[in-house]
Amino acid sequence: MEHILETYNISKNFGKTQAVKNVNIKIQKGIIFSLLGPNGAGKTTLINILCTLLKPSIGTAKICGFDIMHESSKVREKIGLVPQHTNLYEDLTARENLIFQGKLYGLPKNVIKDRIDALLDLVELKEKADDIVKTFSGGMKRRLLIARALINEPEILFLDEPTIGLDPQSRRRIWNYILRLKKEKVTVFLTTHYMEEADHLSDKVAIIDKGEIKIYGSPYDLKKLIDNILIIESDRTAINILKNAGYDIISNDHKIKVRIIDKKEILKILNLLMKCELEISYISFKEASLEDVFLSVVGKSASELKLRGKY
Amino acid sequence: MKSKFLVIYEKEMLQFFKSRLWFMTLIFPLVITITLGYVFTGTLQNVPIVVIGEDNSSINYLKEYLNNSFNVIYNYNITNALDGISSGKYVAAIIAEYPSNFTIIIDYTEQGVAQIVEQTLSVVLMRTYSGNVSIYVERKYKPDHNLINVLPSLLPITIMFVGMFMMSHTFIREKEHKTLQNLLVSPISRRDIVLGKILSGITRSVIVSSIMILIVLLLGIKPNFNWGILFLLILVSSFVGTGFGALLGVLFDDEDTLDMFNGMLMFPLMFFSGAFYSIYMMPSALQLFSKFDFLFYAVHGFKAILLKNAGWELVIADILVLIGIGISFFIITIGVLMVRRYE
Repeated sequence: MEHILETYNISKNFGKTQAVKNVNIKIQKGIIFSLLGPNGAGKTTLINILCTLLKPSIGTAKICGFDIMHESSKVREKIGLVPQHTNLYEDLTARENLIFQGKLYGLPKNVIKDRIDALLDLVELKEKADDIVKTFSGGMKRRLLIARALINEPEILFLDEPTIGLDPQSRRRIWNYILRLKKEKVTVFLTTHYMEEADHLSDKVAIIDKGEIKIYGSPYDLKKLIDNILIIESDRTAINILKNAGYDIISNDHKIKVRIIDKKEILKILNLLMKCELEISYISFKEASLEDVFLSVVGKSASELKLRGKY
Repeated sequence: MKSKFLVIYEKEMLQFFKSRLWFMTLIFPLVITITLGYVFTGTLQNVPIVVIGEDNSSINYLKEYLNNSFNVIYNYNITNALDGISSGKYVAAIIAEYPSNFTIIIDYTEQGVAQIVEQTLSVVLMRTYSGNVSIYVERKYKPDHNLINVLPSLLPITIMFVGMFMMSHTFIREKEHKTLQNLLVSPISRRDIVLGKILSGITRSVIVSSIMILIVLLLGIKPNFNWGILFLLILVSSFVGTGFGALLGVLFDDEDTLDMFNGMLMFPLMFFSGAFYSIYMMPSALQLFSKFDFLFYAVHGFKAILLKNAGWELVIADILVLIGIGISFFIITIGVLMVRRYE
């Protein structure tokens, strides 16, 4: 399995504050990886370290096989960064911004021209190519940032909160570009605190809190760690029937809440109750979300997580 | 109930004391008061003059009269004395043919000082050798047009301050708009970032200085100087000004503090350079400070080229010092850019 990014015990201290603690992650080539965390968890600090903007206090990382500490210029050739804040030259046009970026990477003129045309097409800004960036909306600027970050055809693209402050339509557009990049085998390293974004896009997710990676896995695997709940309104005898069948009842007030792992069990439970001729007046199913995982992880210490035996 | 304007006032003061500006506000009046109030005494001090003559006793007599303001040197060799005037070593020379004929040769590149020196020496000679004294005054390097007289001061000040202000602001803008972050994650070295910016600053300064020279030419003034050396000095001065601006730009993080610092720095840089006021008007001890002012070397060089039509021999030292200072600014700027956090 080829890893495009590997970190080795990365820590970063700012004075007495430890912003990043012993981060060890490995990211496969061609996947979308999301780093989730509350504000101030260390997401941007970690991205800045990986993009060679900051030096780690301890540890290092390899991107495309190049060490971020000793081969930073080679690392920079392989990456693209879409920062949290718009940092375009607003007094230049979209095209001029992209030409400048292409020249920074030492690309030949004809290559720059071809790539700019393709990228402006990708981010749907072709018609605005020669407009001054100052006149662009927030969403257009974010799209141009993505185009700029792709001018060097990076092997890994870092997106730091790419959809922050955007309307749902613009957000969807950005998501589509990210998914298109995946098809083109670009690895995407995304930080976000929008759970549905991470869930929708990611192959792998890590949750970082207080500088520490708390949990890592695919959204599906992580969600499996949290219980799905089936809520039924029926006769009280249903509780004993379900208990006898080995189901875990977590609440037995006026509504019966049954903990289930697989959705297939819903049908089994309904069949069981119907066999016993019990009337079911209400049924609902609450599937575990990434947000549930996030809330159960964030704010808890490592020992607390261990006690639950799930992480 | 507190008036609303007081709420605004309190907020403004809170922000002020939390910023670096309040510290600058303390320093600013100090620098201005010392520069304007103390540095310029209004009297001449330490003006080097050379006396050529055969009678030593008369020289001692002259020295007694001139002791406070002049640094009188006796020289037998008229050629050395004249070379000293053209190189700026002496401001004036008195060729004494005792008992009654005196020739005063005065370097008029610093017109203000030269006029006082001319008057003082004439009066002193008349008093010292009372009787029929004949004094002939030769005013060297006195320009025909006043514009040529001020050009050697205006050019370096404009070149350096344009470079300094514009360059420092380009860095601040890159920081405030976070575009510097994009440069730092691109495969471009810190050296190339600084070099590229400095070159653009030099270009701007060259354009500004070319316009100034063009105006002089359009006014029909036909200056007589070495264009090659002039262009080199313009380039070197621009390099120093933009280099210093780049250093300030990477050190400061906001425009307010930078502007205040730039403003504060402008006065001492200008006054210690001798651009408009001669450094001989400062107390002797403070005259040494001029040696630490890069503008001093530029002004000296431009005066030599534009007023004395000097060749390499008179400006090479100024050019080398300026190149050294410019390279130092360049290296320190790269160092700061490598060490500081720009996320």
